[in-house]
Amino acid sequence: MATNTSQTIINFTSNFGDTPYGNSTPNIQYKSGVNYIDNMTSMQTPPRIAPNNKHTAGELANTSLIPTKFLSVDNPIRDTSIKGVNLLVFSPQAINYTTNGNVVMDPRAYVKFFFSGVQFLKLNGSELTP
Amino acid sequence: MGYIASSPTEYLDLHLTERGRRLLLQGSLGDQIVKFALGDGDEDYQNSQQLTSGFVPDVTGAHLNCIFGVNDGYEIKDKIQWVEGGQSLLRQQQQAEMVFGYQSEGSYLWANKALVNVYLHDYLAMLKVLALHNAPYHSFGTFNSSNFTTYFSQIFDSGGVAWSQDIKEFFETLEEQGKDLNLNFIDKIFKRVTGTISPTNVKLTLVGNNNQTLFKKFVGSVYIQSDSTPMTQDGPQYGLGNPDKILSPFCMSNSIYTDVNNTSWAGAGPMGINIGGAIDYGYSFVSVIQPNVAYYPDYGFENTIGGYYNIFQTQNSSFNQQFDTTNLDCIIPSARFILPQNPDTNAYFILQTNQINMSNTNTHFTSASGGLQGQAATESTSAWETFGMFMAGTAQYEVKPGVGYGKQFKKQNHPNTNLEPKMGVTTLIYQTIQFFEALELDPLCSTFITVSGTGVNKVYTVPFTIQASDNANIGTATATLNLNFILSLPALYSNFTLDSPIAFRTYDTSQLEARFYGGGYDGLTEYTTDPTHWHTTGVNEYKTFVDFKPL
Repeated sequence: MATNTSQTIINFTSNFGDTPYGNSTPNIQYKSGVNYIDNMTSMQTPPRIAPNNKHTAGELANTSLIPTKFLSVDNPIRDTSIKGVNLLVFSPQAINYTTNGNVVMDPRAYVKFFFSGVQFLKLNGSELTP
Repeated sequence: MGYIASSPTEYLDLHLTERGRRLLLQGSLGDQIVKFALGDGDEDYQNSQQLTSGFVPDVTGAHLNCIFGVNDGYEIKDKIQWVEGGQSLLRQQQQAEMVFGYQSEGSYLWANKALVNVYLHDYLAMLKVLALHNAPYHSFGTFNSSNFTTYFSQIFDSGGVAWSQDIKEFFETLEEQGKDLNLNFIDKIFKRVTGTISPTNVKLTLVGNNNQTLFKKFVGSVYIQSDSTPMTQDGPQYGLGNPDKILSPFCMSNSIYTDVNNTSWAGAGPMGINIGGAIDYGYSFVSVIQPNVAYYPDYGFENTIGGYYNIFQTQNSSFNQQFDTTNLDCIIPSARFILPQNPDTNAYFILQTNQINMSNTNTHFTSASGGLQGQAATESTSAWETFGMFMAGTAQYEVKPGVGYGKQFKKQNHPNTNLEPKMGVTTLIYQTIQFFEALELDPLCSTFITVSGTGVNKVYTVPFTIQASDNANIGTATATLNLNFILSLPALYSNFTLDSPIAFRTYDTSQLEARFYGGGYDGLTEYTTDPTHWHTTGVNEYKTFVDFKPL
């Protein structure tokens, strides 16, 4: 690749912040002071889904990670300027990036997506907790 | 007062007042008695002490001063709480109870015991709407996208303006109505004390072992167990001998409620069902094999590097350095649907260039430093619209041997290659139908669900009972929610064309609109084409709420 991929990703995260559940978890506290931990980023337990999901090298490298589902994203209604999930597009075909005065020499776009503002239910015996 | 053996017949005399006798003669006495209690004003049976004046123990034993309830620790199904009036009983009227809040046309209904019928065929009809919305990103055969986007000019907001004039408002209205990618069937789970309703930390309990078994099957794709394992193969079994397990496309969710003071309450709602739980998101590290192909290009990658990556790894600087020396020149947001039974491939949804190069110029956002701008991928904040980009705006891809690369992502075709490619929405419809067939056949859950009709006319009803309690105060009376998830195949097939050999299709020129039948799934005589509607003339859309115990 003509442009250093890892540096492009660093530029992305340094400019637009870490993608939620990328390298960090949100700091949300219940009224009782219990920290909410999103289990999607847990590296402790491999997914129990069938082993036949390693069809690409990327998926093979992912086997210790739980898939990122982007539920639980705080997502205020009607304001596209805040929150959401920022992702990077890096493709010679993606030319519609914009800059604000700075010159970007490689083909990239910064795109914000909106996902469900909800949480999974956790089943513990007969109890369901978010 | 004391224990009574179950075998003898005991009689309880009821003395009616003059007003009671009048109501009895009018035939409305039963309607007038909404609450009553049993008690003994002289003795506290829990601690052998004389009661203080005016105190009457609750027969449920729920009062904190009652050490052991007269129910001997067992939960009473229908609690007897108090009679109306009577100064000595007012203390009991202070008891809090959990209540479910249900949004209905802008206002809230509150109930301690409720039934909600959730019409999954309406929820899934939104996948058709997403396909219609994303038609401009497709090209195949004689397909003309404007035939399908016309739908949005034929449905109207409350002011009579076509939704096509404001797609952002269309999706955000659905989001506000609780009809987003997560369909809320209960909007709030609060507690009520002396007429005041306020949030609390909520604990939900599935009632009965059968409920737990069915729950594991019904949301078997993504419910999380206590060991933080989010995905299981506890889906229903399909077939005999060495049966397949069909993963559920559904997950259930229950959210934190944050009040105006920014205080968060665990599990206080909304609570809903979501078909997005089977999908996960990441990046594809690939090269475009045919850069000049505008629609559904092939993407190449190597056997040892490239393909679909988790976002966690992508952003890890020590991990992503390996890409610096490859010839893979694209990082593209992608979604994946894991196909556990397929030894060759999963389903991948890689955004097309025409989806990335958008022109919705009003939704720019800037970096923290202000030096760079990005753009929102969708016009609205709705998760449905984002979901549609991946599930309906691009083709479904599979892993194949590469041309010039070790492997490639290649779009999957409809059996008739002149028709639309496979897409996420049609795969989810197929998965849903297979899943309900498996629910019907699996002996562990088949007896708990109801199936009427045969073949393509089947209607499935899957019931659950969930009890809500106050996690902060065990003295708060619980609330009970009965849920029926109803799926009508005839309603579903009216939106998605079933071709032979088996393949579902969204772009059918004989079916240019999405139809929402709600409770009118019998006979399919009544429907609306606008998902923002709450009801047609005769039936509710999306869901129906029944309050068993009006407040």
